[in-house]
Amino acid sequence: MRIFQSKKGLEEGPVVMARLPFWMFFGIVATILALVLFHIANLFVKGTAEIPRDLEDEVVLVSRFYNSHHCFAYEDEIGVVHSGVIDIEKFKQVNMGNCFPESDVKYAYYLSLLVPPEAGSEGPDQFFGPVNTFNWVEGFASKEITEDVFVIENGEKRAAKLNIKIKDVE
Amino acid sequence: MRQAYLSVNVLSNNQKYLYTLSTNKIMKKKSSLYILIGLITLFLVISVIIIFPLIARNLGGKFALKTAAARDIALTLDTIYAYSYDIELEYDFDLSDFVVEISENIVKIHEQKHVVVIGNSLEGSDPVPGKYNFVPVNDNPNFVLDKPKKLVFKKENDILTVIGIT
Repeated sequence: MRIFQSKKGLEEGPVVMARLPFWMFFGIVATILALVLFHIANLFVKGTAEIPRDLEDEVVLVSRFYNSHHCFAYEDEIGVVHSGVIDIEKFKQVNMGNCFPESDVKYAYYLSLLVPPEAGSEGPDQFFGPVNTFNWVEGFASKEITEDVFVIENGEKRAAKLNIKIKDVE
Repeated sequence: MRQAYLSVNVLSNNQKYLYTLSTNKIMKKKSSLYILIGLITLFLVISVIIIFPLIARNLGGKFALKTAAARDIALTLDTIYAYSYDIELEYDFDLSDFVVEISENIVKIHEQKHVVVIGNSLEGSDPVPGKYNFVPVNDNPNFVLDKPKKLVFKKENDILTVIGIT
């Protein structure tokens, strides 16, 4: 660079550095650079630790509702818990406290059961619920999924649809 | 520059003098600007060399590992609670640089240099622990695991136990 060859450059360098505008400009640029580096490092951390999309809310947390006997899964007389089978008698708001206690988890759930009439008979669909978690607030749900389950009602097992609305909570 | 010098030759002496003065001023301003840019670039390079390893050490590496491990363990606990039967699960990941705290429905991972484990409680805290929430079912787990090389989760008769193997 010319500044290293130029005698004037060597004389004027310290003069420029002694000026306030130089340090102000340097301070601003250095701050912006540090923030950019910080942001890049944060993105790295976020990428490394990111949970795959839909894994926590749609797979891990939802499965307890129809798999755990502390939630709504049917448990027979000999103590066998039937995964994917919902006991209609248990599908009540009062049972949600044990199933999904208060915590700072990021998701809220709203559940309802749709039971079509028995095969061969005519009649309206039966609707059970709704049952929601403690952190559910009325309003738009970011996701809605439907799980194919069975229900036990009066000792009879029938196919049903478990409709689950999911909302992100701050 | 050569063309400029040729044009200067046809000017009068006064005009030549004024032209030389103004080009010298421009050249002087340009060299100051180059010096300014050069110095700022030099300082920025030095700043990057100093700042980046600090950020990488603090925000990359161990912080990323703590965050990932906390989320992993929290999701593992959620999965175990969703399972109705007895289960034993080995979490074979070396966390011997950390202290794992599972309590109040949160998994927290502290760097072992920031905390002291006394029984089932902690003294001190990591300024930037990795942490993530989980939702127990009919349970309220409370465990502190000191520098575990491996974790063993065991749920028996709906009661969860977590053991850290050092």
